[in-house]
Amino acid sequence: MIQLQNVEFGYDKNRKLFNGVNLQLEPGHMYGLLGRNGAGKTTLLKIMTGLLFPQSGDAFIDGEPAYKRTAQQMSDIYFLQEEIYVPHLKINQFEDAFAPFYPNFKHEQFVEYLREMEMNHMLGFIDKFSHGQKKKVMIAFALATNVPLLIMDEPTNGLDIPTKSIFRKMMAAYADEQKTVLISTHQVRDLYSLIDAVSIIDNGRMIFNAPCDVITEKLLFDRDNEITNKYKEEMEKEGKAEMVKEGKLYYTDETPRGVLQVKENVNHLDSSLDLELLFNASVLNKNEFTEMFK
Amino acid sequence: MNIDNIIKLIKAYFYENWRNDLIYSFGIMAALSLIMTIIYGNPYITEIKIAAVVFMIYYPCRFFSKLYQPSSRIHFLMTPATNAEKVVTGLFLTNVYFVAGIVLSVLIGQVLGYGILILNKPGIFGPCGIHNLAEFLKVQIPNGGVVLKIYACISTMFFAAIYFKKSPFWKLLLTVFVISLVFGAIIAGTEWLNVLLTVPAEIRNGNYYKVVENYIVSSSNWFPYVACCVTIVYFYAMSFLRMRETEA
Repeated sequence: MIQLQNVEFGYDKNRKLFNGVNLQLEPGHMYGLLGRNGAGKTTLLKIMTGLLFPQSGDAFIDGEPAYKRTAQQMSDIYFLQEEIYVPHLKINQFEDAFAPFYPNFKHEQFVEYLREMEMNHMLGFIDKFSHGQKKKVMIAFALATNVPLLIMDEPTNGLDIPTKSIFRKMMAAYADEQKTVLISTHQVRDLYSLIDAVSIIDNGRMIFNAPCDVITEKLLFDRDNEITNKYKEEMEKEGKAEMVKEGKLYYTDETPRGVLQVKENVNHLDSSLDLELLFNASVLNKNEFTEMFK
Repeated sequence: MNIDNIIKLIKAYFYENWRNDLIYSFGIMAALSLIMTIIYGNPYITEIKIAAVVFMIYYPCRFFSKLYQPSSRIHFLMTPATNAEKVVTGLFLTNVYFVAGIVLSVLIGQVLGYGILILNKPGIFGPCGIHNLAEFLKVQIPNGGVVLKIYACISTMFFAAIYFKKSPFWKLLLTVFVISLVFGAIIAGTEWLNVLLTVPAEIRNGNYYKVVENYIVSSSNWFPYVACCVTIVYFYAMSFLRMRETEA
């Protein structure tokens, strides 16, 4: 489990990037960390993993301060960077060199993941591969470590379209009750149907961190008012039109697909979470959303 | 500290670096040693020893080169081992493995060169004046004082290699330069203080010879050894503390 308590951090002493960030990541969830470019997503991941030390506040990994970077903590975490580093090794050599550090690493899984991403036939040195190919190897390795805490920074950057879909399938298979997965990205469509909790940061603060079902319980994601109108019709048929309430409109976006809206879910209707709409609505209604998901 | 983790770190190092070490360090050193032994016509060459020491001193920069790039730094820091285990691995590789490898490479080059010189004697390479291998090896082994000084230099570089994130090579040179100046100043200061405090009395008594022997030659003998030991302990302790504080 990862816990951030009132974390303050800035690369410049006079300009804080984070001001009192609180966050708790529990096992059994796959979190999506969303934020604009430069919002500090990568920095936050580094603070969580003990790679950066907060100026004030605390970061904990399984109750131990993250800055200690103990061998146990490090073997429980795999941090897949956006700008990945690969040594001058072949895939099998890389596995021989680094797999022993991870007690739950499974060779069969690694081979299977490589096969799924069509990398099993690659014989050369990994550092000579293309960016996308390097990323595939590292994703396969990261998943095969079976660490309790997997942190991925923009994992789908550089992946081709078929691999993105394979990636989603592999991630869905990876998740279980013991594991925590945190995926930081600004490509929200890649996380579609994958994550079960969302954390949004903007301008140095955590707007909220909430499970998807809680989000859809409180917010309604509607297109051309379809869900709301259908509900109104049903209620009118039943003669309960007066029970239909009008929720507050947080965000609206006119697209070729229709008018997309994020509204307060006052009628407790079911809708599918749209991460892009959620993000835009969150940025526009920071204080209200923070209060809503407290 | 877990010995298993240190073994894993060493193993990972060799997977990544054995080829580079063999070709670009030990291979080059052996070739240099062989060529210079033949060119000079004997294996007692100071230049090759200087080159070997430069290789040894530079090695910590290579071992910690992963700390100089953000992505490799994260890879290094996130490798599951404690900071102490990483420093101890660096200590072992720097002070034992690489030093032994370089010494062996130099000796192999010299022995091969020595063989060629004997075979050609008094051929194109000229007489080398070496009578047997044992005599040759005995001459090659440096005394304890020199070894201590080399290890002190390595420890300084070791710390600097962890400390500096950019342009480590030039900063390392500057560090050594500054440290040399500081120690030089301390030694000079000690001598100067000795001279100031004691010499006038000796001169008044007419003991000019005693002045030179006691205060300028003898009193400086112990200081470099103590300074080397202090340097080694200090910089390795600082390296450990610095590694703990290293951020990505």
